[in-house]
Amino acid sequence: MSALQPPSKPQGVLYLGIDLGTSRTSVSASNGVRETIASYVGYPKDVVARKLLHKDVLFGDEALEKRLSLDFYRPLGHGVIKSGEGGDRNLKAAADLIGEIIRRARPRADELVYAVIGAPAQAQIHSKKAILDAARQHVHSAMICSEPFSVAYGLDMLDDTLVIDIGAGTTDFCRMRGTMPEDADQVTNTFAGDHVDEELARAIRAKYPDAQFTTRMIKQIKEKHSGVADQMLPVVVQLPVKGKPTSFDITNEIRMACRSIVPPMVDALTELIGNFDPEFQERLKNRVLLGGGGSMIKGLDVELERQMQERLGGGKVLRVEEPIYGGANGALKIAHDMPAEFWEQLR
Amino acid sequence: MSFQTGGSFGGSPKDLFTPAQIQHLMRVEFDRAQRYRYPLVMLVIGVDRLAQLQDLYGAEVKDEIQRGVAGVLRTSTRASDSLGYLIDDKIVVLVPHTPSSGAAVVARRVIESVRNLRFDCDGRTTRVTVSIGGAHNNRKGELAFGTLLEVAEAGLRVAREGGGNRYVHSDLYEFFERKRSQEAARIPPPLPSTPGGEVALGALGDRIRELFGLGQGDDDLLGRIQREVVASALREVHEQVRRTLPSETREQAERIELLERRIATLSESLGMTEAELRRVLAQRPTDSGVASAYKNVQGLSAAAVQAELKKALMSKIFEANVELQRQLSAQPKSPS
Repeated sequence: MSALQPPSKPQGVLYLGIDLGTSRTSVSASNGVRETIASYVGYPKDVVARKLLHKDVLFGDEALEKRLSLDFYRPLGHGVIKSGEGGDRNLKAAADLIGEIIRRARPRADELVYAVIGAPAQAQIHSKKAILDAARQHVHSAMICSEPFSVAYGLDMLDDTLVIDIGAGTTDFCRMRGTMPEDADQVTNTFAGDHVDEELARAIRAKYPDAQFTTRMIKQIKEKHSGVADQMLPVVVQLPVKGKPTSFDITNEIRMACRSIVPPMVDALTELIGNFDPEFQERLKNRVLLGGGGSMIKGLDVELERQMQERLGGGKVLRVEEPIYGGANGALKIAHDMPAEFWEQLR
Repeated sequence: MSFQTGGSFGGSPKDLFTPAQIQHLMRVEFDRAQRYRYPLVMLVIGVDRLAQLQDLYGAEVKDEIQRGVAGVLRTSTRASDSLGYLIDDKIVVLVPHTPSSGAAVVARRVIESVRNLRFDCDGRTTRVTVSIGGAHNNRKGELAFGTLLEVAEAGLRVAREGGGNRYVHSDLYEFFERKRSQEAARIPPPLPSTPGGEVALGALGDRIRELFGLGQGDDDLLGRIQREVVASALREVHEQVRRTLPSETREQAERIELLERRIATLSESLGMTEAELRRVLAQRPTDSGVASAYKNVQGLSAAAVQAELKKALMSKIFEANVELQRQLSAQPKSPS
């Protein structure tokens, strides 16, 4: 599909910073609009469903709610557009998702739309191309940049900082050292939100074999009760057992599931700190920036510091103020700071 | 055939046929057209606001205007066409061997020509316009001469009510035809005035004389009996009409019911269509959006924190994206 045609007489420039995540897609715009939607896309299965839903495509929680009537897609896996079987449909769903998040930014018809989209730190080139191709259908000019880099850029922490961006599909690590991060400065692993969900489901299934639940229910439980502290309020949830709501204490299960991502995180930190300039390693350890939806796990910063103390002899972890919009805000700032001629050349 | 030339029927001051003459001629022409199946057009023409002009400027001006219009009609029509006056100063033109489309052409020509006429009224130049109603015999089913005339006159009324200076073909043949047949059924013509009525009444008198043994001196009694018989016959006719009316009314009611059902179905379809249109309209991106804070591309301010570093970073991001776009452009297009 060709790129969006510019308005005949542009009356302004709308910058967009987009965080295209596996679980949530967020946008921050230069008109003050900030929006986030769950990264779900659904198309009515047949004419009957279409007539009932009165829509050709549904997004976010609405798509999730009506998923039984829909061809349902979660187009992003591990932070990139899924390929392989159904790749074309995932690509279309991703393009529609990007279109929707841009529409929710409420651009005026007479404005040029320039967007910076955050991609996982080590996204493969074909994944970046797929994202860019999908975005170009809806904006006049688009750029891709590393998600953790955009988080750091948004906070002006460009040197001697270690950024951890915990998403649903991936956790990205990026070492900022006063220059553009290279491959050696970035690590991505898949011990992220989805991994916590899987661990929690496995643990509940092992302890309470009769409990019935879905991945979505597990995700909701995690978002409400996640925590890694030794002392935390008991987590008692109601799950059906053969149709009857039954209470289950899953305090330990949720703690262990959330903690399961910490050791791989410390591994990645150790790798990035260990091969950094020895003179600056101490400074880097004390400027670990925790962002992304996963940073909302209660006590995660303290637990990370504790494990860093054990393995690295110390460290200081800071939380991003707005975990949901940290990436989008940074991408917006990059879009704003990008010179005009660069945008023009990419149109 | 040129009936209007040379004032041969000279009863009209404008050298046109009188109402009786023109009606007779038209009826003959109409009957011939119906018999030999050739097209025929009738135009009834009236000068707009002629009465007001007469009130303002007098009867002489009115006559002058009528003469002027008649002159236009003579030059705008063929020698074989019949022109005459009807009551109320209307002029009628019968144009044989002309299809219905030809009526509009003739009418437009007349309207245009009359509009170009100038009349002197008390030292002031005045223009007039005409309205024209048309009718033709090119249709299936029964068509009486009276219907043709009524359709043309109805067209003239509509043209005048619409402001004048126009031609209207009302197309109300069915309406007038039905009206005529209903009137014919409801009001039987009095026996003496109908063709052969006198003969029938004479035969009735003879029969009454024979039945009641009346002589020559019993004319009063004969008259009374005749009136009674005629009245009785009329009552019988009315009774028959009264009996047939309900079935006709029922038939009409059924038609009305059928039409109402059709209207209901169409209304339902219309409602569904409107609902669908509203849905489509609701899906249209009617939101005008929120204006950006920036009218131009901003770029990095020199006063920004770590401006030089950020500038270098922007260049790096840009270069990486240029390379990405180059690869994107280079990859083969998918068949879709």
